[in-house]
Amino acid sequence: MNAIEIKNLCKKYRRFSLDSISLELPSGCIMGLIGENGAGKSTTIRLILDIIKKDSGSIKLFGKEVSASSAKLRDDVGVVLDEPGFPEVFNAKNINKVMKYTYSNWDEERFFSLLTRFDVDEKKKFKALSKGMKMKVSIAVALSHKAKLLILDEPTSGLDPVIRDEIVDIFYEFTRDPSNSILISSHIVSDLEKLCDYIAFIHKGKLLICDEKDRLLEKYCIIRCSAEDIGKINSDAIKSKKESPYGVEAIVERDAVTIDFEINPVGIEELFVSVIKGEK
Amino acid sequence: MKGLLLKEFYQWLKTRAVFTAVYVILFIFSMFTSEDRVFTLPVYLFGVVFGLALSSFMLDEKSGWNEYSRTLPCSPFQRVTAKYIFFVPELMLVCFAEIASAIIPQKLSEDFYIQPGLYSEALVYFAAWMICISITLPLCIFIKGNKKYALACIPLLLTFVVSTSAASKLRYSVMPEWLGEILTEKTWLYPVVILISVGILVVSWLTSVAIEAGKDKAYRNKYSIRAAVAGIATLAVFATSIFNFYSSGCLPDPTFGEVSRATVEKIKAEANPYYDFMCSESNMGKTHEECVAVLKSIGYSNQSESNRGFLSDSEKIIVSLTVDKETNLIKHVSFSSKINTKLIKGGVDSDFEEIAENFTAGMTEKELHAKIKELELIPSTISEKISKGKLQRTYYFKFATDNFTGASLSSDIRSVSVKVINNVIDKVEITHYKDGSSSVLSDFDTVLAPEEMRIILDNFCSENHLEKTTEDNKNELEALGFMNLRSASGSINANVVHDEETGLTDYIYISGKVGEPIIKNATKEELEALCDNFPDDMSEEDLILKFHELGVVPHEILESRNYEKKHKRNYEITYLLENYDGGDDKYYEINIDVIEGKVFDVRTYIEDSAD
Repeated sequence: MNAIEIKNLCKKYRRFSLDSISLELPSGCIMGLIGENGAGKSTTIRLILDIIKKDSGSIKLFGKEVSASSAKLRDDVGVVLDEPGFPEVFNAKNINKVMKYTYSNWDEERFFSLLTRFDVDEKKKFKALSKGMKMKVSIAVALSHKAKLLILDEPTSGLDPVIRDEIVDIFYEFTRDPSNSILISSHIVSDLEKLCDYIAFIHKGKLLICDEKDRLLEKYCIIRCSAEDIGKINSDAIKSKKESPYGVEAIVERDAVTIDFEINPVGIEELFVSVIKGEK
Repeated sequence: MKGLLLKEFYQWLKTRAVFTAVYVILFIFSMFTSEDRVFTLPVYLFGVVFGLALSSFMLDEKSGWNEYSRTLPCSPFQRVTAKYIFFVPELMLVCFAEIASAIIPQKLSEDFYIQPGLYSEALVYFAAWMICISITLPLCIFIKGNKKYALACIPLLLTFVVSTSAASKLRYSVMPEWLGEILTEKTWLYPVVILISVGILVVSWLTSVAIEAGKDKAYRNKYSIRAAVAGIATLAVFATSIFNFYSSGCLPDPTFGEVSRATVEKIKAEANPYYDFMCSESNMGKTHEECVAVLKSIGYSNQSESNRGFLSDSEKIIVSLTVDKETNLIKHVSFSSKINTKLIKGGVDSDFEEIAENFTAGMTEKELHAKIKELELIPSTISEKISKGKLQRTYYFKFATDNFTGASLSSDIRSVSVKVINNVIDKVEITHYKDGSSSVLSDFDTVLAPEEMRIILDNFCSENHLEKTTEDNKNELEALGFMNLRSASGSINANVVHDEETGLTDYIYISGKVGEPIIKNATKEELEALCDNFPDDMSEEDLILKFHELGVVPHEILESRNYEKKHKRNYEITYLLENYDGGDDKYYEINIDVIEGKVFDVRTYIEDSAD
């Protein structure tokens, strides 16, 4: 069973529209949602979570259609939004109490142990915490009710590299249980590269690529050659190219490249940039 | 939903609890310590509490809770219901403050007694605030940004204005009589109004759930249907109540202004036998028992508690019988219909002149009665006595012009009096009620209704009321037509003051429009000669007879005890001197002190700035 199934999801705003997004997140996998600012990542996540209402299409969580009557589904979904939405006058203890009576599987011990691990002051009011600390509290909440699916919108934004690394490890631990899945959106592609099994590229409301990370990395490569040599490659197989006086550097489909060329592996970030530029 | 309620509670605790506690303490403090017990300020402070409660919606929007809460395992129903469960009681604090300020000071007052409007005030506040909250909450839940405040202020301010002005109409006994009847007789009204108010809140709640469901058609339709059903049920209760009021005649009769149609018909039906049996022959010289027997036979069998009047079945007509102490025979009969507290309304002077033209000098009293029935009039009073050896019955009909706004002493009130002597109409007059500062109209200006003061002289000034309780004295005045201690025309007030030590009445003060003199131009010499008619040691009974003979009407009567603890009644009579020009000066006062039933002292006072 897929953790998330989206089919032909559409949402129209005055100056932006999400255009027939379809993707599937198998159980036990991690999918990274990559896109530039304003691409539609947060909109997609908000549609999945039913924060905003879709215009058309289908969204299923654990095989069940997301709707107003499917509140119980969210018991198994841990959420981190780009802006943590806890009341500013609350402290961690108040949040614990509220969540205890909200989620049926709330684990108070786990929550406080995560806060300790993240070095968050339990008594400090939420508004007095830094952005990074607020995000840590939000992550702690998402991880403390035995969720089977985590939906994370820029969860590592504002966090220092050390704690980012730690959180990525926590997410990785989370997916050791084969029934647990994660959908994570982020600008920090390096985090996603470490973590994700699947990568989805969104650009201007359209899903450009959605595939297994390893397959993507295998499918594309970087070549360096002369301008003359680049002409020997089928132009459709070239995702992007950079010309300089010293030669050309291009991202191309590996199948289109002969043995004569110097092939280097491509990173997700490079691939992402080349795909976007290609669209432009 | 527990989690959502807990969230609201914590937010309240951390942002509003202290303010709310301060206002509650301030309110309780002012309730018991304020001398004049004016509670307006604390009540409006609770409006601040209302506003603070609404601010929590802004906090939720600002913090992002509104969005985040949608990711929690809570349905739209739970999200909306949690808001309603928490905020309705908090927002109703304003309502509870208004109710408490209406009821508690009156309960603490020495003169407290249950008025029909007292608890209905609470009902008005309850209904008004429930409707306000039903509108405000959805605005605050669904409208984003600061606009929600601007919009929420509108129902808040409207409710303050509408509820306090509607409630004040009930509190100060200026409510229409038809409404007073509904409040006292239709006790089912109270739970029905509560039901309708709660129904409106339920419709608001279910509609909010439907809106919160957004584009989820099935969920939205489910709650839309429920809201519609609740709305229809509420409307049905409301429509049934109105239909019940209409079919039972509770609603006002337009011709009779603020009196219900049922009351008007009832009074007409009860007055007819009075004309036929009590006005067909002289009652003067009959015994009390004979008159009572006739009254009982025509349905006037309810005796008022003070034994001074006989009430019709509807208790809207009082007939009082005054007995001559020496002969033990009837010397005065007074009929007073409660309809005279709210006048027959509508018309211009020519209409009333037209009515008066139906009663011509020389017409028999029987023909007069037939005409009254034909025109469907109801006399406000019928007074019967012997005057100059002849049987005199005077019928008074009160009317109000189209401009009448409800003030008792309005210049838009007219009175048609039909004087019948020996069963034949002698004179028909139309009089205007004018406000006090206007010019002389006739012998007596109608600022002070002389007939009403004469009823007091004849029926109230013959005994010691300081040996009775406040309640008894009030009942006795009521039997004489003083509803809520005010005369039928509204121009005479009675103040019955309680003595805490003895539990009886301390003093009674009856006065006409205070400060307004009886207008009768006279010279100083004429007025000094008038005083010669009230010699020392004259009995009080003779004094009153002398008042009648001379056409004198005191405008103040004070019954109290003198420094020797003896019973005393002071009569104050005021006249204008010839050079009166409308100001406070240039008037002549005669003060007559009666100690233990005998004239003790007559004092005069002339105010004349020219002297």
